[in-house]
Amino acid sequence: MSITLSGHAAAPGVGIGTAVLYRTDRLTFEQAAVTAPLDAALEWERYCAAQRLVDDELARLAHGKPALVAELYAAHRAILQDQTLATSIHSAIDEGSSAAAATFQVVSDVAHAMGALDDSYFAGRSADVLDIGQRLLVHLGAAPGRARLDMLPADTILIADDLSPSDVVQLEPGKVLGIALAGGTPTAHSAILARSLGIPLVCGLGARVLTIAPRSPCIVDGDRATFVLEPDAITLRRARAAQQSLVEERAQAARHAHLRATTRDGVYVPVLANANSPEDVFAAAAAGAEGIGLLRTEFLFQERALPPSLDEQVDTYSRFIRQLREQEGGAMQLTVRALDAGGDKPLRFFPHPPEDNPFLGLRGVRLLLDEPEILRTQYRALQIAVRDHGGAQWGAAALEARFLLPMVTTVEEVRFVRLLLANLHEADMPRIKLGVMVEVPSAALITQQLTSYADFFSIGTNDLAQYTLASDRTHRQVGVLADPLHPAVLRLIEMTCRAARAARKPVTLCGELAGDPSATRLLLGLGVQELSVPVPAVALIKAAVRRGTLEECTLLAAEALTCPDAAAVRVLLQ
Amino acid sequence: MIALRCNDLCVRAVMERYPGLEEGETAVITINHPLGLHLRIGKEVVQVAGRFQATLTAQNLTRPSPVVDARSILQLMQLQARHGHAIQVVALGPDAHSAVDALRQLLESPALPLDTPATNPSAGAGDARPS
Repeated sequence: MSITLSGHAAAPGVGIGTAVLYRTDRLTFEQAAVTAPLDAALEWERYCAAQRLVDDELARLAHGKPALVAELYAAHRAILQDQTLATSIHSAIDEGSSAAAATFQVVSDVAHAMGALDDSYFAGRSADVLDIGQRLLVHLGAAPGRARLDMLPADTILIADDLSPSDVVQLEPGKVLGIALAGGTPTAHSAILARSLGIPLVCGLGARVLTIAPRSPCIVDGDRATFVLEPDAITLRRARAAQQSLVEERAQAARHAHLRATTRDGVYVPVLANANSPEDVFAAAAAGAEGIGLLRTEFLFQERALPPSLDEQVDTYSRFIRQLREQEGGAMQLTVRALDAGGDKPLRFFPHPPEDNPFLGLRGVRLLLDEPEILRTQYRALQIAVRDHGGAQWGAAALEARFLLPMVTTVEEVRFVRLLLANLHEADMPRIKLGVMVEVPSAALITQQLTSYADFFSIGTNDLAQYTLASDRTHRQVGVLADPLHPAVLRLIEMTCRAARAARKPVTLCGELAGDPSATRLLLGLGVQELSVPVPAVALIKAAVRRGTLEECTLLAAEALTCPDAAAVRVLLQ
Repeated sequence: MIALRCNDLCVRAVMERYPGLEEGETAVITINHPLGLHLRIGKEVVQVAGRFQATLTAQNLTRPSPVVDARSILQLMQLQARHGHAIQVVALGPDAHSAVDALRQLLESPALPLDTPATNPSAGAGDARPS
């Protein structure tokens, strides 16, 4: 008999498979099969045998993987073979421990010492050490306490309390067909990742989902936000049909990914890609994106002792521009967002005092005005890259480069930025279009005043929802309130678009909402002119644009604006 | 001044551990990879160090760190060495000079062979990080 649980939809699609429970607990002593030690020589031999088996296992896992993943497994092998580890385990065995107990003790100690390091990157490597310890213990007779995320069976529906982003990146989309979480919120980072991997995800199902028997058949429906346990024949048939039509829809969308998307009444809607890294820029062109609508530059600054030099940035932006222009048809746009750091994403090289409320603190453009050289260097680097590589060539039109300011709250901020950049416009330097990110309600409310200083606008729905509905989207309980489909957020989007249109300034929407095909028509109806979406969503969003006329979209938007809450808007979209 | 003191300590630690060693080479190397001496470079350092007879120790001069064995990836992580940090390397043994040269070449290079995106188009596609 089928049991249906409902939660929150976090990544679309339907997955049908069997349950694998994943517990995120660390090494525990119970797992370390405590048997009375045999003599020291034998225990040492057991350890060496386990070490060889793990080494083979890591070599096998690395085989055929993308180079960077393979490199990580190679680094894990280096840890496994580390003499420090072997020597400590050897002496623990000599002192009378079994191989399992010695491994448990030494690995725990090493991981603990490493976790205590000041620098978060190096402290975080304790997880790598624990991972290797876990592999060793399994070969020393410990019960495999948890499923290994990189070795799941082919029809897995993964069930867990919550998953960290580093858990999600290990999943293989062909094997993990769906994810069901007891906790978590739809906008948490793991959900963003699941979406980009194309794995359906439903969260907020409650503790009950954790009690189901392993290997039970189940269905995750990321469109209806349900989890069905032990489905009956009818439910199963319906889910298969839904899955099939989704596959066809995707295939259909992929065939037309490289054509421009116009609504049925002929309005052209550029579909661009969001990029977090050089890899994304590379993938965007292949996915059919007409450019990069949001290049998040944090990857250039994160985890380093000194900010990147002008030359390094010129190199990076030039490489991106060349890469974008190499694709067929030529990508037309590159929007570089200035560094968006501060608050919860501190900069190592400019320490600022900790804040009680980082989301309301020194972040975005506020931090850039506090460290103007970062801003000026970034702008200058983009100028040089555009001058050298962005011009019209081989009959192709010039690339449109844009520079975007994060988290603008007041007109004054944009005016100051203009002043700071004013003397960078020597005769041989191009003037880059300067835009404002609308992610704080104040910016949406004063868009009309901002049009005097901004060349374009870009709406970030994640933060806009968070600030409008006063709820932290990563919060376990109130995170669900920060729903970008809430009519209050939709109204702010509509106001922004109306004021920008009156001043003939383009509006792009680059938040997560842009990547949800069921919301595309609503967004166009609210007045959004361009969409910038996660790379894997490009084809589907183009297909969604082609589905309606702008007039239908406008009617839909008008109705959504009168809805009492986000749930009612969702019903309207289905 | 600080560098000098660390230098003396570092050499002394090695001399105490390996009495009788005479031939040596000391160098201060600046980490040039944007991610610092992270796990992947650590693995390379261990491999390079393994090719030489000389004992190789390292210490971070930019932030407090112990003197560590360059053949142990776990100890190298304890240096917590970031981009721009200065690492004191001490080599003792007949091939000390070439060992230091090899480490310098590795640590001063701004990129590992796999760092260019073009070699790795399948990885990292998608909207991995939050806005």
